Amino acid sequence: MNCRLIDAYLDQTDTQLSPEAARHVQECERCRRLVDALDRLSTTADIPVALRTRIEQGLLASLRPVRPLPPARAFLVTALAVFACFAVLGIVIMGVSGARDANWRQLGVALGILGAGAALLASSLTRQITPGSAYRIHPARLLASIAILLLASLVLLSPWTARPWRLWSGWTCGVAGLGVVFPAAALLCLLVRRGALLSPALTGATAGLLAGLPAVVALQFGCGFGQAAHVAVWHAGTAFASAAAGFLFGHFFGRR
Amino acid sequence: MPEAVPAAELQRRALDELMEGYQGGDQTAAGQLVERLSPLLFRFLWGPGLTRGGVEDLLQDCWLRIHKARHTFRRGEPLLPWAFAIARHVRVDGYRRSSRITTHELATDRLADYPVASPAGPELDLPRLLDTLPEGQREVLFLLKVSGMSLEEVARATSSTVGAVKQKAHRGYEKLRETLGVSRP
Repeated sequence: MNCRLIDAYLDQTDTQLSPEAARHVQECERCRRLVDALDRLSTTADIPVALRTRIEQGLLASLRPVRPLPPARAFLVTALAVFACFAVLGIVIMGVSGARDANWRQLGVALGILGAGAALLASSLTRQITPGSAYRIHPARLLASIAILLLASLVLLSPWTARPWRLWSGWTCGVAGLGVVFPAAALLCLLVRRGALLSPALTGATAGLLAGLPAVVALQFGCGFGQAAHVAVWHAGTAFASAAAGFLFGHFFGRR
Repeated sequence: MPEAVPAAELQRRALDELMEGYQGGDQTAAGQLVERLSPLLFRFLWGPGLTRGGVEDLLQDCWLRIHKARHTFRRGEPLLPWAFAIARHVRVDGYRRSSRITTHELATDRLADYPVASPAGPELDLPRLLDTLPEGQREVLFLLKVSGMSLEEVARATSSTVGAVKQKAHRGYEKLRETLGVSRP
């Protein structure tokens, strides 16, 4: 038994110390003082009655029955449906000339990453709108990981030297991509605003990236110019611009 | 024979039921919820550099946000992580505001003098004890040891993972051992 194992006991709320742990606490002054101090830490403040009354009156004045949020699964399915619908709509509008030039391995890997990214972002968004949700990965870390993975996979799957390339020549892809992003983002915004946004900028960035992914899917299918730099700037860049816009929107308007 | 339910678990279930009543527009449930949660929230919102009036304002702000967001509490989920996740953001916003103010003003009405109901025992400046810790560790130890939340619930309240909470708690315990005056052998 050592001090580290005592820490593990202290982490548990309803667990009594085992005889061995209790013996260690008796013998180790460091642990004895700590356990003693933490036992006496269970203090609560006395709230002035006037303050409590003021709070209660404030709440009761506007107390109406509210309809709780639908189950998390319903929100997740709806967010994924927005992704899938706009990806299909984008493909229908932009065509499949890019898919004809690419091989199935490239398309399969890209679609797999985009689909998995959308699922993870939708799940993260579902949790972000409900305070006190459980996370396996922090939303900011997840967002950065998906963005990096998306960029890396699209760049690695596309050739670098297919044809000469100029930066501004791909602006049509950017415009077409934004045509998919705007309605998808508007729908996601309507979904998200029912929740409680504790970190509106982060939630905005997550929703923005999720709205940008169907545009990337549609561009991967519809754009016949599969050069890596073009794909990085004008395909993945559309999703990143959407995430950045979501971040700014959340930052400036999320608290209202 | 039915299995005995721990008292803490019963208290949590009672809080969950009050929250459901609050969502349903029950005035009595709302009043009881304010009565039971406010002392914990008040202690959580309290921190170094804040005045008594400042923390009272934060508590009111916290209840306002809880009221606005009450529809986001999902039945069957634990209430405390939900409430403390909101309180945590109120606290951060409050510190940002107060740090802007205290750069220009000297706060005279510090919370060190605020009455704290403590169980019988030798006097130890317990509120200040946690204040010796960095913010993340203070928050985790408060939620674990004062609010009586489990590791998973603390992770939910702090938008973190159980592993990260354990790590912060361990560092906090080590720091407290040092603060309590016994160095590592």
